[in-house]
Amino acid sequence: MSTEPTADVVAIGDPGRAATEVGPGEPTRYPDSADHEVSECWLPGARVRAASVRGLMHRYRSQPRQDRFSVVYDGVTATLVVVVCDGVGQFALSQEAAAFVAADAPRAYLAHEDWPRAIAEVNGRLREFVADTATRPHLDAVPEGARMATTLAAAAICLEPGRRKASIAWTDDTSVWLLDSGAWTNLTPDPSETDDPDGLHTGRVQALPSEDPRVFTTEVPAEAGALFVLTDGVGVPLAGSAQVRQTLASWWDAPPDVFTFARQVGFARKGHLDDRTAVGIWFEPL
Amino acid sequence: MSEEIARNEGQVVMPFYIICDVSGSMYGDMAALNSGLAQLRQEIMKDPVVDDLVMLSVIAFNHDARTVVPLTAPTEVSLPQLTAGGGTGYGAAFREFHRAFEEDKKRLKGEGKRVFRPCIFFLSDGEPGDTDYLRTFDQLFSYDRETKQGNAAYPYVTTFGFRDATQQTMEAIAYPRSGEPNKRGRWFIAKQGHAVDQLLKSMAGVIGQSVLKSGQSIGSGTPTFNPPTEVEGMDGGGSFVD
Repeated sequence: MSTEPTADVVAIGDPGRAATEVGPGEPTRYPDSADHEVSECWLPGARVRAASVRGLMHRYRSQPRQDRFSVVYDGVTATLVVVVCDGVGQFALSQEAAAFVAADAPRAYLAHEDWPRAIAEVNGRLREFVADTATRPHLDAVPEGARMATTLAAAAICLEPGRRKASIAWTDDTSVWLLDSGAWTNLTPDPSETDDPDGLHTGRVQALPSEDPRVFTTEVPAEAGALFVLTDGVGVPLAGSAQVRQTLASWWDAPPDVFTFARQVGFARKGHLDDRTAVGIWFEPL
Repeated sequence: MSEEIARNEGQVVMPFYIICDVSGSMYGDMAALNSGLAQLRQEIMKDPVVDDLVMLSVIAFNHDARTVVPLTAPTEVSLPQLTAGGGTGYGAAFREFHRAFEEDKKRLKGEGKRVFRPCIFFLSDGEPGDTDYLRTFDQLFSYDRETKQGNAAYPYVTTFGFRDATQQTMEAIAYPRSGEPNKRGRWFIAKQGHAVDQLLKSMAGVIGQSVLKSGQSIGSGTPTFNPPTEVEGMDGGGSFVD
């Protein structure tokens, strides 16, 4: 556990002990894994803020951030592609799977312009990537049969005037939300949920790579409000707490500066210690 | 919605129930048992991450049973000094746990919290005087996954038996016939010649480690109960397929 004092925390509700006592973690053995990552961009019709924050549990356990995201724009088709991936925590190298899928999914979507085909292709390529793990450079020897997995949520947003729409795909508990006029709408409900019929929480996911990927898709207009592509580190407290929904709605009514956005994405709330990633796309009239 | 509920709505809770035998035969062991519970609480409180994620309850039983520490965060636990007396009735302990957890689950879900499957650590120094305790256990906790009949919120059980407790009894509780095939039960039984006060210290230590490991799994998004794998001075058995 870090002995460095924590800075003032941005909290929503009860921050819990961990947020006030766990500071920056020890350096990890993964040089390609920054603790936090931010990005921002502007293009006709949309402003984007993206932030990924290493969760308190990973800091506390000296493990790397396992969330990843990507934001790319294809000028030919006027398509903004946003991908957010959440490496499955039970596997030590899942950040590699998350990074691979975040990097490869935009290419696959732009090639196929169809999320199920794109994700099927990425899933196949991820299986090869996993099989080749030991051949890539690592500080420490990779155990034989090392596994990794990731969930995914993605949006391909056509910003061409008159054709503005968002094609959305997701697996498991990564999610995409619309914030419009102060109200949140979950565009990616998981039909199987993670609570069993008796209401006990399980947290089960079926991530990529998978023999039979479980991919859901939907399409929504991309005219008003803001779209948020989230890992469960943000999506779960957003879904589970009215206070979180109200606070984030007020913070993200308009795009904040990217560093403020990153601090807000990392908000403290008791019991929510997972990595946090959010990519917000604020639509503007053309 | 009250301000207190709003501040914690959506939190995941992993509930642990420590069920302790305080029958008359435990008279000479109560100082060690009380000390072990205090040590266990201290161990968990040292970890701010787990302290945010788990809740503890203590149920004491002899021929009757009562909740002596209601389910709460480790920092808020107030441990009473337990005293010994009376007979040994496992059925009373199971009924009290069932009653307490049903109330706790209702309360926590009413507060907007998400509740993980309850985990029991069951400590006893003797065989039960009630002969129908297994029937009580089955009535309260059996679950058929095919027909979805019974109690889907059945607990994971880890048992610790010493002095007159037998392996057969500990195993029967830790690994009931019903429920999911990979349920996480474990049983431990004292080896001959080990002092009970040292065994209780060891049990408190491994329970603390189990709670810490399990609690840390919540923060990575996939809550998993990590039962103890070995206890100094005890033989044990795994009863789940991971």
